[in-house]
Amino acid sequence: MQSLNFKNDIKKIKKIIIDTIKISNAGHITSSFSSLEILYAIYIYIFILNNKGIDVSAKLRDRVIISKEHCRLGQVCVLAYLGLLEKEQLKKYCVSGGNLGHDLYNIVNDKIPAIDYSSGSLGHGANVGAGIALGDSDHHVYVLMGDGELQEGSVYEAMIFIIQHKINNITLVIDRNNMQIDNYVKNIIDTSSNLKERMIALGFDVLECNGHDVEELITVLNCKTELPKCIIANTKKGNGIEFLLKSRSFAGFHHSGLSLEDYERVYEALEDEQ
Amino acid sequence: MSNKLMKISEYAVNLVKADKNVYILVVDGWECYCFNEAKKMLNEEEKSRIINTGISEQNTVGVASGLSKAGKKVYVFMFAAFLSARAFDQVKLDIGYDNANVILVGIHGGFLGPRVAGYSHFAVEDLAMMNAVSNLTIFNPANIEDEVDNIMEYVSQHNGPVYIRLDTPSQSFFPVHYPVTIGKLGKILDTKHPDIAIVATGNMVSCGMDLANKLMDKGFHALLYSAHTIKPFDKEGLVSIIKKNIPIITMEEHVAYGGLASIVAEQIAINKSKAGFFPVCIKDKKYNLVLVDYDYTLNYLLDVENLFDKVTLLIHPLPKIKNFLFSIKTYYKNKQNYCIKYSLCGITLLKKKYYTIDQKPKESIYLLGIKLPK
Repeated sequence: MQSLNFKNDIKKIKKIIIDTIKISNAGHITSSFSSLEILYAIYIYIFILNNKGIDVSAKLRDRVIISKEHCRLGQVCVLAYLGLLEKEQLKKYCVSGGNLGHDLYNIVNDKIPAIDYSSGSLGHGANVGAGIALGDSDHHVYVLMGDGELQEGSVYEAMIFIIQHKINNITLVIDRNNMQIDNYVKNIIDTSSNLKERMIALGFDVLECNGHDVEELITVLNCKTELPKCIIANTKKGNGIEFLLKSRSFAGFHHSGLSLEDYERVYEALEDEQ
Repeated sequence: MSNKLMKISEYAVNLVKADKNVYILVVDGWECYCFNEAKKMLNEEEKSRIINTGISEQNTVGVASGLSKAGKKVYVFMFAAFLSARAFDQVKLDIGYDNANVILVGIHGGFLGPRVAGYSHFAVEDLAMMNAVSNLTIFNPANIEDEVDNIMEYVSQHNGPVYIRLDTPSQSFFPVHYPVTIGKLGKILDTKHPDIAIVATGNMVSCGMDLANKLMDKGFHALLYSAHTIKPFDKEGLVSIIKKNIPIITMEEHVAYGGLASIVAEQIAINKSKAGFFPVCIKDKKYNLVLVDYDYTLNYLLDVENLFDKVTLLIHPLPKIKNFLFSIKTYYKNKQNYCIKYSLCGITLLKKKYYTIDQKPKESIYLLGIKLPK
């Protein structure tokens, strides 16, 4: 754990994200910045800190299910940084003819063994994760979800299934950035503000942490709980580049590309980050 | 008495017994019927691999996909209506695109649902929806044991997603045997000089048999095929039928779009056949009657007598005026039944004009197709 310089790593990955998106000018930067530390923490936790070696091609191993698909950009950049995905592939992110995009169907498990699942449609990951955890009780499944995603009904079907069947080898990590495409979550259907109480009521052991603090994330990932575990990671959408929201709509903040001027400002902000 | 659903559930239970990687997910409503008896023969570990997933179709399909990712083979049992419509996003993405090793068994496809259920429980659009899902193999077996045996044998070896549609699952098997080849149209009736070809799927194969027998009585010879494999469809076999240059009838308990009729019509158009095509499928109309069992098929599809007249017309076209007479013939015999239905549903009297051979228009009053005395 000492040898890894988390802050430096995150800074480098952020730069990789911006470099990647600059090619096609398409991708969810702000969502990726929101989940970045979570993704990084999970991957280094299961592949580096927790395991003897990295073997992404192993058929049965700990799995990471990204249910909030719009942080896919962040995920592939973390994987590339950790050497679990070829860096060359990033150059074709969202580029015609490339492998990497919003969804990665049909190539999952074949060309990019580190990516376990792909679904652009929200409210699928927890269900599939529950299935994997049920079928492979020797390994752990981490499902990354959004707080806005909790508006999907199928999420609760998965949660009550997990609790009923006492599936303890699954961890739901909820990236609570309090925002969804159109507005703040609380202004649409509030699934973000009283999240902890809801998850406890459903039957989870809930741990809350700062979603941008890698050490804190690793600590909660490492915590053993009696009931199935749910981690609420408090984050900021577009962490470090929130200023982008001033010049665009909520939806634009979620998924639109950047202007040349924006890129300069984003690079500057990354440089200034401590 | 055995039937399609019992046979398939038995097969799945045997696989659970034989292979530790086999799971059964069953949605609330089918565990009692399909697995309670069989479970008595299983040990605790085997029983734990038959999971009742409750009233949650989306989760069931998602969990099935997850289990397949963990190297398991999963059989899913639920109503075809909810599997196709309620959990379609999961079927499309988690099962189809993800090429999951999951066998989806849709129970009560078509009209012949249980007596206590209504339109909500029928799946008459499921083939259209499932046909559009990538990687999916689709079966719709007739009530013929050989077909079910072959399909189950095939899917137990097959690696990839499968949808098995079961219409009339509670009906027992017909005493018909023939050599089944998966992926090929099953030839049930053959004749040297055919006048017409009937391509039926699922439950409607039995209606096809009735029709072929009636035609035989009148001296017409019919070929009868069972389309047990809907996707990938046996295009080669179909084209060879089209090239015989005889009229083709398709029969299915499904809407006109996206099912058997669409598949056959497409090939007829491509092959520029002009021999005649008559799809028997569910009419697009409001399902506002309370009906029981087979009455659904009669009301919303076509009854066999009615169909017989239309089909003979297809072989030897008669003057157009006859058409009117054909369309109002009825299958029903029991008038008392109608009175009950009349009072229950408030069906209005139906007036129909028709023409006699001497071209004079006459008017009769019909109640659900039965001519009332004046």
